Amino acid sequence: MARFWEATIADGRQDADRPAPGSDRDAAALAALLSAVADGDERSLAALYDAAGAKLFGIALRITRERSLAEDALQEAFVHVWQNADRYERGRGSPMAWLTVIVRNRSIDLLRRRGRGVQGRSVGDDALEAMADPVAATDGGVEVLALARCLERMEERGQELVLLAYFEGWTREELAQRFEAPVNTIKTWLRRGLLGLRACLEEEADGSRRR
Amino acid sequence: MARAGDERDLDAAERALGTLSRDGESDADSAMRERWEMRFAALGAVIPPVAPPPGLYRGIQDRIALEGAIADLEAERRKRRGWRNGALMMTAIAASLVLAIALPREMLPAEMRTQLDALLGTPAPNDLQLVATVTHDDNPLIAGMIVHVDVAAGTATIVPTRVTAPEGRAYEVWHIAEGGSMPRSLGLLPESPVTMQSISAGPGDIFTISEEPPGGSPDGSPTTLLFRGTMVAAR
Repeated sequence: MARFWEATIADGRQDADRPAPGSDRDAAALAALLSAVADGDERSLAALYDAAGAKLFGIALRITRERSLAEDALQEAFVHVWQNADRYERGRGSPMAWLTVIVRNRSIDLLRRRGRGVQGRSVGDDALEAMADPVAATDGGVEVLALARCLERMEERGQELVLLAYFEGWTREELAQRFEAPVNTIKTWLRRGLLGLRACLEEEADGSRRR
Repeated sequence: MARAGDERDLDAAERALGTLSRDGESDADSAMRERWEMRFAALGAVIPPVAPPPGLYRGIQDRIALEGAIADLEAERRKRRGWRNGALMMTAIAASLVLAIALPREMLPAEMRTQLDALLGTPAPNDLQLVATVTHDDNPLIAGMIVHVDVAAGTATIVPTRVTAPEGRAYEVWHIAEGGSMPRSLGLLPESPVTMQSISAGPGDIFTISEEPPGGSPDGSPTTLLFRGTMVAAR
């Protein structure tokens, strides 16, 4: 199965108008690997790791900011994938999104289990900037572009709260500490932001269906 | 923009983000949360890839093997509750699994260590316990059986896993004493754990499984060796 993935990549390279990573074709290749993993094919798990491991390790590292925790998160995530690959459903999103959810959840669990304070974590950084720039986000396909556009349309405060919660794993209480605001105020800001985000994403989805 | 059911959906969004706890989530609520998780996952796309350290995948394979083995052990223990020597057998097997995959226990996640400690218990002193995890020659993730030898008692316990011989073929168990003497047949691979008496085995001995015609080897020696494992001290 490793060969299959390499062939898919090589095939794409020869193609002049090769679609960006995160494209339908890459998604189809990953979905095929996941379905073989669900059937218990260990080589497909290795191929999946070859194909998505670096991307997922980057995410684990970004969230945990500690190599040993990120390594643990990636290992636990792949064990989970091995045991639960049959739970991936094509209709509900791309395989990369499904894998990202698993890695992020593991990373945040490990971070919380280990215990960490809000202090000492940098705020306005790479991911916030990269995400706010739709051009940088075009690599990930239509869902990423839509999310980037919708985040850009959010109020700055809501956007910051969502990104901090997503990448740093901060709870309402930790956000309240960081923003020196009551927890209920954080809740209100968050929900206003999320409501807008949802409306925007639904609009984007309708738009892409019409296109 | 606001509509009926919003509160519930926004709670789900917050659980997806992690600003609210997931404890006590209903099935319907977790489905809503998963929908938000998939939406947010697009955020991962902007993070640059970083090559994981070499050898990390090997650790994944080890954990998969270990988790499978622990699940098998627990199932076996439930099935065989009250079985004579059962606890001791499990002790030896669990220890062997850690040894067999040569995984430093410090590398294991905390909850797995706790699980193992519960299975391991305390070993009996002055009692040499040997174990072999007999795995497939082509894929060490597939174990055919685990053999536990109690040297003092002179017994060997064979714990089969879920492997089954192809249609019309049989699996046979062999013992090869260290130094490579003639393999001695211990009979066909049993379907459930079997303890054999009067077995003399030591560290370095090899236990194997061969594929044979129905009924076993026609000439008293293994036809095609498929699985093998070496005896090691359990602790």
